[in-house]
Amino acid sequence: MPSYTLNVNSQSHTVTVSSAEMPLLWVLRDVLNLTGTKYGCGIEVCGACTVMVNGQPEKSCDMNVSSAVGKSIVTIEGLSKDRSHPAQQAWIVNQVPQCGYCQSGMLMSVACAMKAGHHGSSIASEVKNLCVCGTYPRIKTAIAAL
Amino acid sequence: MNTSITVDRRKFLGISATGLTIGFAIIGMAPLDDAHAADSTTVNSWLTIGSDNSITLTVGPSEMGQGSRSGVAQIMAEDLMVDFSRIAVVQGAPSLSSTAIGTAIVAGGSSIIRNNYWKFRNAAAVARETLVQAAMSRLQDNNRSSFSVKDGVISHSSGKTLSYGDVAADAARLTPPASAPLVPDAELKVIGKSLPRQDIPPKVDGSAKYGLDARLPGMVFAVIKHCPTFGGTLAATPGVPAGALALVPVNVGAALGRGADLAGNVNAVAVVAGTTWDAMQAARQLTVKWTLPANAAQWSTAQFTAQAQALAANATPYVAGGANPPERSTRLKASAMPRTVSTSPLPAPSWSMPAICCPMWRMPAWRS
Repeated sequence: MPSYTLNVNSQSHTVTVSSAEMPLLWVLRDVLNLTGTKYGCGIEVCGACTVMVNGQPEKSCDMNVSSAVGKSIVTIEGLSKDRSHPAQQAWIVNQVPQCGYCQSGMLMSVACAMKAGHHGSSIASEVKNLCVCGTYPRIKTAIAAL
Repeated sequence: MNTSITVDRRKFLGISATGLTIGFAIIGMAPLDDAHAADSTTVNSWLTIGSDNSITLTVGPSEMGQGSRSGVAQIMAEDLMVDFSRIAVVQGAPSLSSTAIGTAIVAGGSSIIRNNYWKFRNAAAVARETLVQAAMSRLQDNNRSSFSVKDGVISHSSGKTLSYGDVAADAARLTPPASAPLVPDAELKVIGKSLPRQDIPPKVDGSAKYGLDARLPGMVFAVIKHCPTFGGTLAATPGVPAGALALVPVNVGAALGRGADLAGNVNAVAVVAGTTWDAMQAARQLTVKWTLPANAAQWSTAQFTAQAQALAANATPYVAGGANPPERSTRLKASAMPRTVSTSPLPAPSWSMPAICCPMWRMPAWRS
């Protein structure tokens, strides 16, 4: 059973898992109990599993844990201590979430786009996450102010 | 329209020396006529005012994004005369006993608020008046008109004030009134306003818990491998696959309306492992032998697709147990969802929700 040391939300964790190919998503959720990152499809289509790896958006459902070693991983839990990230604030002000299941991944995609220098409506072209409830109109309104 | 509603006193509980708890009964899903006709007698919801001035509402219906958790707090804030943000709404847990605690732990049919609006209002008004009664006792003034309530504070004409928390323990020893005056429509301050929803902040920081997020000490994880058709059963129980901890034959809920799956038939296996992924991997590699029903071809994807296309073109939906409805609009005809005639002894569902709305892993957990 291989072990890997991961840097998640600025904390170091050493995990022992069954295989190098175990996706980062399940290490985060089932081993580290960081359940904010969600499973939606397992085939990198929906984006619910999106986390930030070295500043870039990654779909953790299909990223081997072995390739996450040595990188800075940020999950929704690490986006801010107190919902103070501008995207989180915009999400609350505009009452964006409905069921909320997609929103962790959605916010991480938005945060990555902002980190890469996108502003306002240009963020939308970077964010391809799916929302089954259809909160897209409120997402667009919230993004416009970022 | 009612301005005050009589409720059986036996439904109310005054328990706990640390605060006042008002118990009441709400109805889950039911057509509106039934909701008015039959009142549930099983207490399944609780409003608690603590000596620490906390206010907690425990209800069964789950919040799925439809806003009812926040909505019921908003309704109660009116007659309780407190700021809406002071009411913490807690998801009630299912009863662990063999007796169901009523149909309240359910969310569907857009029913929780419209079926129970007056119940929520009355419970809040009764709680308020019980607290005022305790204040009247404390200040030794039996004249209700000497007292007024605002923002969870009871004021006496002498200038003395008492918070709800100050009198909650005393109120717990009183018998609550059967009914209490509700805030008149013309004076509503909270109901009718668009307020920020309480469930939204946890949804932006990953702390909102969904079904898939439940965690218990030492827990393991399982995935289900289903029979590929309705009506099939497990022919032979496979051995525990490599990487898994256990393999458990299970019955996964009957296919309502088809009559093909009978309650109790083993039609799936649960593969249990230390993580979800290990369970998925083990299940993927597993070969399971099923006994398929003689008419298996009828339940195939190809058959369903052909049937759906024929029904949509035909534009006459089946109605379980009844005659076809009168002509519908052209728009409905073009998009008619195919329905099936129920031939099974199981009751047909009284409502339907597209499967895409509630994938099991997205269902909110019992406790937030």
